[in-house]
Amino acid sequence: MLKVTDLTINFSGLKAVDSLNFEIEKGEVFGLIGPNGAGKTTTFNMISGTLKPTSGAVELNGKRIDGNYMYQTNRLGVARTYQNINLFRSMTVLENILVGQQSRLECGLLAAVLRTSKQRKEEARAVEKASEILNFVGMEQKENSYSNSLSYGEQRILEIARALASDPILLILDEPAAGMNPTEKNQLADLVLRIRKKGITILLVEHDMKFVMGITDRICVLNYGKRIALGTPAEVQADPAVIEAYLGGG
Amino acid sequence: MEKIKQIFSSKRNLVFTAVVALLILIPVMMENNIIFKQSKYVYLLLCLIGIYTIATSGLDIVFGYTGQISFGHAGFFCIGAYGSVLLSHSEWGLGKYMGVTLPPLASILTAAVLAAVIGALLAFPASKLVFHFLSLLTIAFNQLMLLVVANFAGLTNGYVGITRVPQISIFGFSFNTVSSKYNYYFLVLFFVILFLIIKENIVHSRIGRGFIAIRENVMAANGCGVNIKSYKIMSFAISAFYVGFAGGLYAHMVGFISPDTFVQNTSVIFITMLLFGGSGNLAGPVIGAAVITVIQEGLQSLSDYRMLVYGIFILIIILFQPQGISGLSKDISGFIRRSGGGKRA
Repeated sequence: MLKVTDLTINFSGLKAVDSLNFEIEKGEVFGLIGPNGAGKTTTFNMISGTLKPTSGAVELNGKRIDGNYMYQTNRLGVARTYQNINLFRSMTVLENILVGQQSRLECGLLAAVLRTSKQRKEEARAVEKASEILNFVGMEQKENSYSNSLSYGEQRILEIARALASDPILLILDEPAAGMNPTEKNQLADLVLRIRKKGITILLVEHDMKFVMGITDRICVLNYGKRIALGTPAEVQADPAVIEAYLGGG
Repeated sequence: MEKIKQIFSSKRNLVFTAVVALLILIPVMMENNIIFKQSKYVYLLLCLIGIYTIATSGLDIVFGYTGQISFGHAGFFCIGAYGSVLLSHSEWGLGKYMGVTLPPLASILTAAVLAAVIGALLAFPASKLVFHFLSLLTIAFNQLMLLVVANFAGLTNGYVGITRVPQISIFGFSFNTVSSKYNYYFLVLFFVILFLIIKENIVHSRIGRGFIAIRENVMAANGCGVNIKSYKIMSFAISAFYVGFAGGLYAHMVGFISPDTFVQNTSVIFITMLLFGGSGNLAGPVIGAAVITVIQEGLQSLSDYRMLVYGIFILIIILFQPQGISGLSKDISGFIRRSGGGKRA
């Protein structure tokens, strides 16, 4: 469903990502790993619309999405989380999720000014849906807490919940387990698998190898912007190029 | 009945209703010589407070909710005032060149729409700018509007200004400040309530959440499907409509306009009102407009030194009460809850 072809980006001469190719199948959990500076987040940013690639293409179900603005890509069904948490800090947990639904709500300015019955019904449905999502991720207790009062792990979960609110077909998670304790990591792994059960395809970057190997179907390994391996977790772990990239060649 | 119960169930609605009731009671008390002895001056002051409330609420949409600074909102005030006067005056503008005039209330609405359109046009370049670059652009916009009305003397009579601005009347019922004292007050009160309700509706909708999302985190807002550029344009346009409408109400109340009213200082006064009252909420602009208008009248004798006083005001507020006066109530209730909670535990 997501096809990345010859994706390349130049940062004033430095090829941060160099002719990257991979394809993600519908319904799989796809991992993108590599040492620091390998170009993982840069790849994410090109897929989600933060960065425009120098050359190459990103296609979602056959439709080019590279060079889109983030809000356009979001409307097409790609939602993401961020490596550095980007929540709406002065909003409550519920409000954060309501903003997440932005792409799926229709009532415009005039309907808002007049508070038409259609608009009020849509708002009520949106709140209901937000509560369902909070139940799904297990944060229903925190509904009215301000997002800046949450713990680090909870903030990461809230980012996922906010991304889910836009009914994505592809969910992009940028280091979802960073800063989490082992219990939280287990809960996160469980959540990722439950999201996948809903039929949502997942693309994730993560440094915690145990976490990645445990939940992904296939993994693409990057080093210096180039793909050095692609396959199931077992295949990738056995690949000599991967071992060299991580441990350094003698 | 159920609906009425629902309205009064929320504390905020209760406060809103109580304040409106008080504002309706004021003229009753004044006419019966209980307070202020039917003073025309007090009515004028109350009307000014109302007009500034509308303007400051408009500024709040851009500044408080969308998080975009503007030091040029007097430019929109100017468009509303001059626009409405030129559309409704028999000796100037439309009346002078075409021989037709719009009735004053329709002219205010048209001028406010014009302000909104210009606000949207300004937002096109402004949507790419942040912080000090945006403030410079908005200052330039204010200056531009001022130069236009000051220099197109054939159209606007330049610095001499336009007198005998027609008064608002609806179906022969006249709203003026000369023969009747409280008519204009009720007209302004009606529009203040209307504009505050509309603002409340907007900020509690999908659109308003988009505005707040932009203020909180542009990148995340974009990722959530908020089209940053079109939302900023919308925010500026709505804001300009509010301020333009307030400008029209001002012109038809005072009966005289000249460029001096729309100088940069006026924009700074709007910002002062908003910061003083507290931005990003309903009550802030009301409190700010009321307090600063009264202070402004009290400091009339200081003339140009008033700006110095405002400067000190802004400094004190930003340093010690960044949430403004309306933030105080939150602080106090939080303090009571904390100390009360301590006793219970």
